[in-house]
Amino acid sequence: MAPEVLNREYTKSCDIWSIGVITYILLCGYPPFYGDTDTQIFDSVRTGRFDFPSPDWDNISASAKDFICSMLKLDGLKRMTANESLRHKWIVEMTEVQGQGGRRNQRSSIVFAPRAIAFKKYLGMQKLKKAALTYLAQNATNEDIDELKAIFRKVDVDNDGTLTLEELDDCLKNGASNHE
Amino acid sequence: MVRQIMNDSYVPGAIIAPRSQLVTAAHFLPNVTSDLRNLRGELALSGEDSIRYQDFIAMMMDEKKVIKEDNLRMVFEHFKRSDPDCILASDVADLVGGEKYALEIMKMVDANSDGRIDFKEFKAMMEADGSKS
Repeated sequence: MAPEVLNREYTKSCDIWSIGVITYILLCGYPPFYGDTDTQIFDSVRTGRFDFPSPDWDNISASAKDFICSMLKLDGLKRMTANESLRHKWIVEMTEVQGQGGRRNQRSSIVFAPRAIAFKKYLGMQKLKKAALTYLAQNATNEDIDELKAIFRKVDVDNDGTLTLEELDDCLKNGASNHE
Repeated sequence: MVRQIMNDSYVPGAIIAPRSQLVTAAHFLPNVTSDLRNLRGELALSGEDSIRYQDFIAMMMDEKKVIKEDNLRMVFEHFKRSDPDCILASDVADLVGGEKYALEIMKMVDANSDGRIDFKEFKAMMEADGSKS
């Protein structure tokens, strides 16, 4: 738990601290703050001091370490926010999708295909190709299509199979506020 | 620390976001949000006020991943109705809703002008970049 939680004065930024601790453990197998007794562990947390011991951390990228450092800031106000963490270099690098000029991390569950065809281009597309693409959209299977289906269902609030401007506006409003 | 988290039934400051919120946040990663925002803008400019499910998926899916031999075979098989090997102009007319469109399409896609679209011609059309094939 975050240092400020020990003093029983905290905001949601203490969850970011927890994510930092969990990320640290996931990458090396042991916690950043430790001790033989609870008191020692709490003292270690209160100092906010941790390191990346060799050799365990030798092959961990600098951006992963920066991600952890940005989350394990003693001062809750200086800690990265959830929104910032989604835009952090490490997360962006590891979730980049092929075709955007990046390498793709197969293990990542946060994968999303970039929009392949602009709307105007799609509207003006030759009709036979468009018919083929819509047939594929409904009958081909791959993980990106599954994800798109999930997004569509989420935005299509009245579940009528079309997205209206209104539904898009609502979702963009909600999507934005969820990051605050 | 790990022991603390595992043992305590209630950990102050444990991750507390309700499930529904987590799902929403996962679906609105910055790149998704910006795609939807672009879509909203282009939709408004085009004068349309809605987009159908199949068009949404067709437009947003990554063409590079979908336009593959096996998928193209699947569509080709589905599109050809009367001829065993080719899509005929009459099949195209049924698919795109009219003789007029069908003739235009045949002119573009039927490279050897034999009045039929074979798989090679179909594949070339699907792989061609841009709105004209």
